[in-house]
Amino acid sequence: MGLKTLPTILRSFSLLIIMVLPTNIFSCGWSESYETTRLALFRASLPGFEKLNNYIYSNDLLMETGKISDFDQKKNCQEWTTKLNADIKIDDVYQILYDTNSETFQNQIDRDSLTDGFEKNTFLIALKIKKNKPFLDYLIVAKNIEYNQENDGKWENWNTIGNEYVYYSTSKKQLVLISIDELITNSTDKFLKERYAFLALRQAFYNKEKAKVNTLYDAYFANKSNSIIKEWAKYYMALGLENKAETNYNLSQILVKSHDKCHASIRNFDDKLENETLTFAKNETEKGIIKSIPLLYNPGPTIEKLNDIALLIPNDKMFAFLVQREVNKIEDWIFSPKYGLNYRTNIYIENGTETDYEKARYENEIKDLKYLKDFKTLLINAQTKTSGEQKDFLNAAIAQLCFINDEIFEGNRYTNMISASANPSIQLQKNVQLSLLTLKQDDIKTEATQENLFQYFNKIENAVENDNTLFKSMYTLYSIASKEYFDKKDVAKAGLLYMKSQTKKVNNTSYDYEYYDLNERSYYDYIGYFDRNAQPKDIDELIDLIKKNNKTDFEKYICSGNITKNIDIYRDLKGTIAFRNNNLELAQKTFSEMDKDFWKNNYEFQNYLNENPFFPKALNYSNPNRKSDYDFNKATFVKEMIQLRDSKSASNYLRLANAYFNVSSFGNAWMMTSYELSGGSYNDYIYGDSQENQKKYGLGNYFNLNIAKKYYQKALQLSKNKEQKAVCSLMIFECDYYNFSSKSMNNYSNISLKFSPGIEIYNFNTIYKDTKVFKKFNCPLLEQFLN
Amino acid sequence: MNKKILLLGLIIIFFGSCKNKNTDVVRSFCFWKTNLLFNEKSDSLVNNLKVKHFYVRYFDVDWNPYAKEAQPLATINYINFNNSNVNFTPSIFITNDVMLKANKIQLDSLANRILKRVSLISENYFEQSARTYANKIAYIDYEKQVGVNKILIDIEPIITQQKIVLKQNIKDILIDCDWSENSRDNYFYFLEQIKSKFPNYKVEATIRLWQYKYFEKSGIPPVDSGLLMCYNMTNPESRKTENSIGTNNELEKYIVHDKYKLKLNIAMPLFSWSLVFRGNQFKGILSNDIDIFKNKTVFKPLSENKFVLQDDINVGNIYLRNGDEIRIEKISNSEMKDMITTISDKIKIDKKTRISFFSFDQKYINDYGTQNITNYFTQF
Repeated sequence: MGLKTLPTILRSFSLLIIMVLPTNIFSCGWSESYETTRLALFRASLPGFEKLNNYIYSNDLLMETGKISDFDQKKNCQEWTTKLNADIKIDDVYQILYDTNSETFQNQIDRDSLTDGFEKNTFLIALKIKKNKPFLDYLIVAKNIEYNQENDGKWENWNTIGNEYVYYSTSKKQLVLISIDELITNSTDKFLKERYAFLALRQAFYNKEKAKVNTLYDAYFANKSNSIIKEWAKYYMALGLENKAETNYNLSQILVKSHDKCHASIRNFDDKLENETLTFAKNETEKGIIKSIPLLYNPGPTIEKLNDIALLIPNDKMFAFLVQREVNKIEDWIFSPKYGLNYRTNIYIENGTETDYEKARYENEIKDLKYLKDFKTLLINAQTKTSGEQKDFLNAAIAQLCFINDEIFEGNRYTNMISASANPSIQLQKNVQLSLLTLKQDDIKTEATQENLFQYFNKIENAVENDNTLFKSMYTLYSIASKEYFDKKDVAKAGLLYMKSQTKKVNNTSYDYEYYDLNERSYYDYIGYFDRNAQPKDIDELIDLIKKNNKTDFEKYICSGNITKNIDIYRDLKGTIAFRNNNLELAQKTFSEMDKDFWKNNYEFQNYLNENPFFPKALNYSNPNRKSDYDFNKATFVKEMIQLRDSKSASNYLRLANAYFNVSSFGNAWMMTSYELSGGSYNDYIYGDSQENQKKYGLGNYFNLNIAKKYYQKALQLSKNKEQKAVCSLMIFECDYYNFSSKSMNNYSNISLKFSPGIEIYNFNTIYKDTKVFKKFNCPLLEQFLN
Repeated sequence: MNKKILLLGLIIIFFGSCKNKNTDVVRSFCFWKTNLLFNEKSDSLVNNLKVKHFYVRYFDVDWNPYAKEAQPLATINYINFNNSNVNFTPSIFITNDVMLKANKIQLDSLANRILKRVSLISENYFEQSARTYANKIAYIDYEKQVGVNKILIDIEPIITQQKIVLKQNIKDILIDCDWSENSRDNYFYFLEQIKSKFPNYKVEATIRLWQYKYFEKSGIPPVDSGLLMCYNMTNPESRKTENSIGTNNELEKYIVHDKYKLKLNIAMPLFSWSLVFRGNQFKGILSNDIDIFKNKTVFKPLSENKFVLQDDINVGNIYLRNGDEIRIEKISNSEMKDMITTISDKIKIDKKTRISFFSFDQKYINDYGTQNITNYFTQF
């Protein structure tokens, strides 16, 4: 168990209590953000979507994206190669401009010959040619500024503090600014003038010299430049404008042309000024973009505004992106409660009023399905005004909406309308939809269907290899597949598919989990799903599948990484489930098939099954001989329980009752019944809440001790021995009290429960007052229960 | 209930009620924002509560995966205690990631850098604060003068003198890191470096409750004292959690011994928040100062601290839905008192012990009430 079971301690002493904090807040390793558990399948995209990656609704985390667009950077590299020499490789320019820190760059410049992997860099070689010295000088200045800034978003410089950390100390800042101004003037090349001007403009922006920003922008960029630099300069110019609606308008234009400044432009857009901003728009496209921006971060339904946007810019990629967001939202609202294990909850009573989450969920589903239909109608109308990839994209979206609503035939029709020339992401979506179709429509128990599923999964997995942002699709698809198999009562495959889904839950290429490696399975990871969902026959099927020699491709695929060859792990689970069902014979038979030392060498058994299970833990307070060296063997233990049960004597019933007491959550052998003492652990995040299941363990005995109490009562009834009767009476009281404690712990209402002990505790304190048992186990606190 | 626990409870209540509570403690608060700008209201709270000490977060340190080294972030911009005369402890939060990823050479360098940065921020504070003070004196003196030949006194000697006074207010530094078993060796090594590089300061480290309980596993940091954080005890993201900020029941599970061989100061919670659940699925945190809960047609009260939504509504970037449950978490008066009893029963509290509430925020102080907070201090 190790660190995983340590209680949650918030990671940081600091607590930013902000308006809304949707992400993985402060807690250490084993919690999950609700965005991680969102289910979403629709990831069809169009070229240009990359710049909006931060706004994909189904990202693992809001504002976290595995893929950052370097469109602007590549365009800048292209401009450099065009300027200097067409033979210079763009990748080489990229390496120097964006992948080489200033120190390394300067070191290479200072050397007579290039080293350390730069020997063949065509850009650096070109820069070292004498005629290109002005370009080299520019890069030296730019890299020097970069070196002094060390301004990478949140990061600060160790050596400076306060507002100045962003740039320089005052004196140095002035010096650099003066020299850049001179360099602009002295430079005769327009290409370099623009770039020097950009450096100066950015400096002036951070120095709050608005007039200078405007002067530089007007002089070198407005109506004069076609360079990508112009958009970067425009961004700083826009932020400094007095009229904030005009700022908004400029930002809305920048995000269309620039990838690098797209996210920043959206973040700086003031959506309260939408109407004022619209007055600057010169055409419908500009209006459509302005209206779209607030929708990029709206988490709720936006159909009314999407209707407007569909009329203004049906063929624009921005509209397509918003469609993707809306489909993802609908998927989240409908799929997540349906397939996400932690959304399942019981009806509970609060304050005397029945609060029925299931009822709310049902109401929401009806509302969401109506919304889905309305949105589908919107898309069908918009689709008629589109062409090319935009049409393919919308067809894929409509098909997806059909599948969410189980409109298989119509969904299939729209899937078939996707052209063969559609881009790979749309083709991939088609595969996702075909696999959904297979899951919903075909007999998933046949080998032929499973082969089809394997083929679809394989194609999607191959795509994931190249684009790990598609993890979410895999996670969702496997979750749905798992549920479909579960509904068809194939728990073995359902469990293995569920385990597959967990490996795709988080795009683990971009996360670093100290406490939990998704690809490294612990003992419990092999059985967690089955522990909550399986019956003995399901475990038999699982073992058969694991042992099967000629597995199909589908079986091989779902088994890979999800199974252990140590079959006794599964046998122990099967025996434990049988024991929970109070099927002692099956439990004993199963345990007896296992290695007799299994419980000494595996999991945490030796730490929790090490005391005499026939002495009730409740009486340990008067047990000076308590030891933790009991040689525990589940098979032997259950065998004795069967013998005791069948012997029908008071002594044996008492011993059996003690055993049942100890296999409850209050006993010293609770691990006979459960792998974790109580719910609420990390495993509940992964495999779903276990507490409701635990309430049923041992036919209720795990928490309410009903079987233990029954045998204490039988023993009391049959016994002629006063000492035995005394201990039975005391233990019946203990059973009642622990049962009451359990109920109190789970009592959500404000009405406090009252404990009413039976006659037994009175008898213990009166009839049996002269027994040795009374003398040994009496406690003054018991007297309070006498009235 | 286990009779032993019951008995223990009675013993605690009995002896607890007989305990003499005359021990005064050092009244402290944590300040964790990026601008410490006191005004008259803040001064008044400091006076009324007799606060003598603050833990002031200077900056955080996290691992920059691009630079492959630890770097500072979120540095405090301003420190201005206005007219409050208090001691304070510069505090640095370091992510465990840093301790997991840095090598020994980087940790040496990190200790040096922290030393330098703490000095830089402190010097900046001394300079600004002393200058403000000197200007005020010069202004008062100038205003007192009559006639046309008013002279502005030389403020430099006052600044020099005031800086010396202010320097006396900083006697130690706090390192805040939730170290794990895997990072323990690195972290303790780093603390030793800090101690050797800060010979004129005492070094304190935060101790999480699990680190206290399982001290044999987590180790005891090689510092002069620890700040035991008695809050955030359970997982806020579980719907079943009663109050993740803290309950005495939970606290009792951690404060189970008195064997921690380090002088401990205590940090207690003084904040609240609201958590959203859809079924059992955690959905986010809402700030408490929003008025949305007043809308009873949307937020139906279930109990004193719980609401269920009756409609769909956008709040910030969360789309709350019909059926979502909201749990408001705050420590009640009686709970706080029980927690204090649990702590003072096991941990030695004397007149040098700092009792620090997290955090110094007028909203939460007003919410809890100054009289209640005063009572909390005196109850230790």
